[in-house]
Amino acid sequence: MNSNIVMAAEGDPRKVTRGFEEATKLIEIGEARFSRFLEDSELSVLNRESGEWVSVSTEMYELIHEAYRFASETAGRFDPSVLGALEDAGYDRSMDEIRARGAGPSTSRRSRGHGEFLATEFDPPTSAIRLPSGVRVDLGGIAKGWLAERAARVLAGFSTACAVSAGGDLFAVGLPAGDSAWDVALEDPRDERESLTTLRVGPGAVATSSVTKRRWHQDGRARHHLIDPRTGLPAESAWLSVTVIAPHATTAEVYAKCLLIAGPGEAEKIAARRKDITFIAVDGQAKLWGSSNAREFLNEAFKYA
Amino acid sequence: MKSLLYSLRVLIAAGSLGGFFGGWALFAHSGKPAAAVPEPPAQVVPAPSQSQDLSPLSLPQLQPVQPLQPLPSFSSGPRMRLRTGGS
Repeated sequence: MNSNIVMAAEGDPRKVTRGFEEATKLIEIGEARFSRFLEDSELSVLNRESGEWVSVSTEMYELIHEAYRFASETAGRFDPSVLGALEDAGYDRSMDEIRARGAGPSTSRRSRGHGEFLATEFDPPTSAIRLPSGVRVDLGGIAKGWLAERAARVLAGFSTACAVSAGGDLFAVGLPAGDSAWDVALEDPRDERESLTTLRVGPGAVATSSVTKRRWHQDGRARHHLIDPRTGLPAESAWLSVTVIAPHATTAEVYAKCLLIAGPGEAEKIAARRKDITFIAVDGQAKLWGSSNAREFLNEAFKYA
Repeated sequence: MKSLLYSLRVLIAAGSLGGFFGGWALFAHSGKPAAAVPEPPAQVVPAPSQSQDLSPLSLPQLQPVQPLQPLPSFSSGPRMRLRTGGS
């Protein structure tokens, strides 16, 4: 999934080391299952068979069903079936390949299907899924959160407190010894080597979506990987990044993406529907904006609209 | 001559005994030596109360402040610092 995985844990070193191994195994299995860049991944098979019933693993069924629930809850603001649009924008190969050889050419051949994801059908007794014909999904973001949380729960069985971060999606179990919160540095989206502040968060999830990380040029135009399902194009937002604190990693991941795409005009309204999330957005001048409860997690003053 | 010497010894002995008992009696009836006695504490004179004459202190006008910095925390091992910034 072209993402850095970071694990941190406290406890008996031998047990923690074993926990790292088990959590790593889970992530590797997850990547082989959910990656769209692997031809033989379970997701690639499901995408190739769109329009047909496909029996899938429990994990795939669970994650697609969760994605469906979020797509419904956000009225399509979150839509994993934007894969065609993502490929049209040039993201038809891994970021490593794009950085090495450039993005794919601009096209509209593949941008069918986004917006139709809610027509996906599920058959629980057989653990089968039927994507609408022509619809293909990208689980990159939500899969990262899903794996981070599961890996953290595995690691928690071998440690007294732990956290797993998968490409910006973080899930923490317990608290560091003698501390009342986890310190999570909020990166400056203009320069990832810098931090804007340190968040103080309890057990649970923190996820950030940014338009400055996965960027490339296509036919002379700047592109990024966050597709606005309403337009099928890379989102144009006044914010550079949105960080969400939530009880679960998939919730944090999905809402970080939705709120970034929604921007200042709609973010507060969307966030207000979920009382269990807090968001902090960063604009082009590195000013922080956020929901009314965001101050509780900040070390420094920030501006609230 | 012998009687003169005898008389002289008796006189010296009697004088010694008389001096001894005379000194005893003198010391027995003299005053005791002075002891180190702490000085009595100085008497505290309460200051005259003025509370009835003063108006209550007014609180300073509160200024809006930035969110409080959390107190530094301590742990036994190196702190685990995590980052979030998207990918």
